[in-house]
Amino acid sequence: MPQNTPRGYTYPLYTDPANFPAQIQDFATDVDLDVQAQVTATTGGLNRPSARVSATANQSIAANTFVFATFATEEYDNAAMGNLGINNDRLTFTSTGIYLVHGEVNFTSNGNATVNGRWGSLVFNLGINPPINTLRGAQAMDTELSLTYLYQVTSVGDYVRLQVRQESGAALNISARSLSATKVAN
Amino acid sequence: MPAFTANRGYPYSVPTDPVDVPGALQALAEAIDTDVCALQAGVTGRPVARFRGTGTFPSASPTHPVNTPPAPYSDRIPFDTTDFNTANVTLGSAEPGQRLIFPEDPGFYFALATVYVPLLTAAATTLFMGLQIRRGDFTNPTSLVTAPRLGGCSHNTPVETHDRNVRVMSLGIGVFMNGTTDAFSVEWRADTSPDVSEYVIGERTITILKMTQS
Repeated sequence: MPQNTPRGYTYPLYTDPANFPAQIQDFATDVDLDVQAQVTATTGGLNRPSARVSATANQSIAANTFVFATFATEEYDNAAMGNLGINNDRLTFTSTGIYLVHGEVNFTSNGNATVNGRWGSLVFNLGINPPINTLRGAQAMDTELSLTYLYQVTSVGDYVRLQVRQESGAALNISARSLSATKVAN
Repeated sequence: MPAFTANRGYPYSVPTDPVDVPGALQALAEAIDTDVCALQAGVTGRPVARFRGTGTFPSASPTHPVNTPPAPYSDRIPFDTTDFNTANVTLGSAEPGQRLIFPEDPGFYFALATVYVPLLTAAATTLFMGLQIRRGDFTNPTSLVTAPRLGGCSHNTPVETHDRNVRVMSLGIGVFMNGTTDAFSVEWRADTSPDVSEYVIGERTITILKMTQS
């Protein structure tokens, strides 16, 4: 009765009938499958689920209101995380693991007399306590805000959105913005 | 004539082959050995590179709008030192109008740029400081491409002594680069009142991680 190594490689015992072609084929096939599995794992490790969505058209943000940024272009997506036709404000994670998530947004200047703050946060699902960045706005210049965060996805279907807020006293546009995610660990 | 396994092409004897157990085992062992060595050589960890600009760099202090600089390269900052590079990224010339960082292999990249911004020594008030990463064309460095802006961050309060005289601005982005023309362009600008001839910034870095193989 042939035996197997811990990795599943089959080898004959002295008591087995001699059949060299069948035995070497069995062994070669076992090693072949094992090495191919390693190649697949290695390739997968170097090809992480990644996506980036962006937009450049103005989106009006009312004063003192939390608004989710919307996106129009799926620049890259190798894991079906973006589905802008269904939800144009998010990336939805299609596998569990730890992701490096980045969002950034450009608040245009509008010359509002009141400057006050600009706010951006990455909101995961409907969660509270998201990573937040705040800035004092510029009156005559654009204000650009960027966030980077490591997020552990525990359930397929978790999603992330980029939430913005501005307190200039009147409506303000956001223009260029993007949201990206790339998996860094299982 | 031996047959070969389906995936890795390892040779094995078939019943019609002449009986040559040592020869067949040697051929199989050598094929596995070569294949596993090649596989092992390919496991190098995630490709990563970091470039640094050393010394001070006098950035012009124009009043142009943030996203429409007078020339596509007018705010591009130079890098001159390679800290490490396992990602096949080419650091372009530090000359004005060049200053691009070119990933030669296509893939999705995460890039993190930092700039040390010291106090403005001139007698002026800083109204705005902006750090952006744009997509340049490595084969045509002075030309804008369709979607040049990849990400940005700004500070609208000046660096002061409460910052211990320096502020580090940082910006991360995730983006696909095509491996043929796409290059990172790191840009920094300031707006002051009144205008000053230059705002001298300090050391800057860009760290690039390759997240996919295509």
